[in-house]
Amino acid sequence: MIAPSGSSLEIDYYLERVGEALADLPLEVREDLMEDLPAHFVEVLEEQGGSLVERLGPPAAYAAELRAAAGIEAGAGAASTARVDLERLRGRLRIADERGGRLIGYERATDFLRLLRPAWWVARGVAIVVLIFAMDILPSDRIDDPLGWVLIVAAVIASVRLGAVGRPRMHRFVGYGITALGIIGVLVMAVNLDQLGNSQSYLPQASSNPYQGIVDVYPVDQDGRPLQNVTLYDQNGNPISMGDAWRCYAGQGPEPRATPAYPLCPLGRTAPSEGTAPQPTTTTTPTPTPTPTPTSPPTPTPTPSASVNPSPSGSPSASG
Amino acid sequence: MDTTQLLKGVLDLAVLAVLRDEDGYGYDILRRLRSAGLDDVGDASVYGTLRRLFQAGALTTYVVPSEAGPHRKYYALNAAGRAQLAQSGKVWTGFAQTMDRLIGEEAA
Repeated sequence: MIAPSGSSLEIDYYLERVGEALADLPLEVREDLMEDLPAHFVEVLEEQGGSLVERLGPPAAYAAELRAAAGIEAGAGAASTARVDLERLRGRLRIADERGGRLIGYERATDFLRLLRPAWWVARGVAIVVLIFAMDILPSDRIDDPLGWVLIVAAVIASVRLGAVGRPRMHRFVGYGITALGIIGVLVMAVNLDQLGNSQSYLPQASSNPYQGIVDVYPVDQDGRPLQNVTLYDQNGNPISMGDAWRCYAGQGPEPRATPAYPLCPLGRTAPSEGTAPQPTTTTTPTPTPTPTPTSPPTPTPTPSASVNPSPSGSPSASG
Repeated sequence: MDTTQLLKGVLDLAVLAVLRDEDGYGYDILRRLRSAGLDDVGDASVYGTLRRLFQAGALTTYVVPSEAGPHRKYYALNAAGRAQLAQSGKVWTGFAQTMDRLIGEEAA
């Protein structure tokens, strides 16, 4: 095959359509028939200007004229076994295409995909701009300001124009490159969306957070002594925020800090609820318990001894 | 009258004729036909005809590398092609004379 230097998307597109219209021919016959067309189309465009469709008519009509003038009947030509296999594969793909299409209400599945092409044009425009910012070719934080929006709008317009009109004409490999960049960009966007979802799961209302039930943290040292004003950090050096920093704020004293110091509610104020925090075991001075101390001999209470005075009402003893 | 219908029958002869004196590549041959007055000749028709004449053995081809543009495949008449040109030319001349006579008598 001769590689035409002035090839363009327009020529590729036209050739593709011509090739489709000749798809029933064995590959050898078709290739032979189309061998010189790329170079020829380059000359047509160079000498006559305009578009190929304007100059040559619809690709299908061009293919029909080519076939008729070359005197080739449909499906003519001896096909080698490898070609037969290839044709059979093609046939199967065509059948799958038609069956898949019927499933979603189209003649062919590719008809449906073709309808989605404008969506792809828009997506690849956005994706490539996103990629430019993601790779920090332009500062990535500017994608949200007018610069980002202007670039996205411009890219979408250019991409749709390229897709729909085939202009500006560019080399086939540039086209492949744009497609590849578009796909990469879409993947980058997909990954970023995923990250967005993950960051939301750090919010306390997320159900997957195993610490969501914790309202306070009571750190103790190795001897079980409660610690005050403890700040916890994760592996990245970011302070860990758990519990409700406002829980014990009574409107007095310094407001709770962004970096919480645990316990949020110091022990004296609100005791940890039973079972959730370790009971601090006091090993310091034991509070005196009221044990009975040996008292001094009892001071005699000045009670009148009644023993001296015989009861005036001396009841007649039973002796009488 | 639609000349494209007429062309179908004589395109082989026309293509052979423009290659008689000088070899040419596809677009060049198309240009020669058009500048000779066959304005309606179709791009794909000329291409298909060239491929068919080549397959039939009336033409030989050779590729000429080009520095500026794409490589060009030149077509040249071989002996069989020249014989076909002479034979078809005679048929055409006889046919054209018949038609001329016919039209002349009608018009007279």
